[in-house]
Amino acid sequence: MHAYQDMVFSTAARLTGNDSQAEDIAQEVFLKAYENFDQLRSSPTAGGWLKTVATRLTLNHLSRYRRRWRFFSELRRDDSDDEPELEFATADLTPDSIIADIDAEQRHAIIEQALRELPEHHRVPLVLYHFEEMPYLDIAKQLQVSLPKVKTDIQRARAALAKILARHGMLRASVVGT
Amino acid sequence: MSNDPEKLESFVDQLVRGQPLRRAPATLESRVLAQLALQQTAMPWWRRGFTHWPLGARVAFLIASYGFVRLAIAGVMSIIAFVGSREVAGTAITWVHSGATALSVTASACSLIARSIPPSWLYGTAVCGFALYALLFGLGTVAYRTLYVQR
Repeated sequence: MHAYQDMVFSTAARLTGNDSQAEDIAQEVFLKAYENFDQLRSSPTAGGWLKTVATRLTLNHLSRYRRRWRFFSELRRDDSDDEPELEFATADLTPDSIIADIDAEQRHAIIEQALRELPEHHRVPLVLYHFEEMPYLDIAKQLQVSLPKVKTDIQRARAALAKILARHGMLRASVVGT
Repeated sequence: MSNDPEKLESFVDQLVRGQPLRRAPATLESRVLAQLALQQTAMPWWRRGFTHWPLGARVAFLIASYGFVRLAIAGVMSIIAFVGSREVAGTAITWVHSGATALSVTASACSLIARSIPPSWLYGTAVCGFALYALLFGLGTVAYRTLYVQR
């Protein structure tokens, strides 16, 4: 458990954007792992199994939560396809765009905070693609949306993330035009 | 200003590549162990897997299962023998006939009652029901948004 708890918690925390829910999900993952302890004990793919279960349980959790509250609280969801594009001076958007005097630890914290600030419909596909390295097609299947929508959502999520990073003072002012 | 998707993708990729795992809360392991201990103590032996049952219970279960299987086979065989006899078959046909007659009479009575109700009453009832449903739904939504969401 020691070897995998950070990985399982990270997956759940980045997808949910909520540490307390992530801890509940991580607990559920390890209880499931215990049920399959005999197979996992000697399996070289235990890490992959745990990651897959963590992702699946988190997505189930999010979809249950979304279904429960969607009608009442998400009628004004802004995930429609006519959402305006965010504009960036992407010519300057390189790793050098990150302000140099921010140390690594601070930078990591800002990125995690920026992920938490993303709306769920941006955060989930972005995390699945960039952190969980899931292909577009698998993300579309998991989230039960079309492939073009996944690509659009991820693109918008990247733009939104860069904007939040700029707001937190992590990117040079020349990069993001607000 | 322009939005270059490839640059943006590679930029986010660069950011993510160096991102370490989040550290799990110190309470996670103790929570999992406590939950496991709770499950172990709270779960009686008969709700655990067969291999975790006491030996006596396992033997008794196997003997009882064998007895039930024998009993079920004997029961099925005697039912087949009973139904196969001519008298019983005759009785069964009479029952089916009576059942069909009762069903037909009930259907005729229902149809007669339905025809005697004026259509305007039926339409009125349907509209009224729908209006009440919509009203209740709207009230529920307003109450939720006012009392819960804005809190």
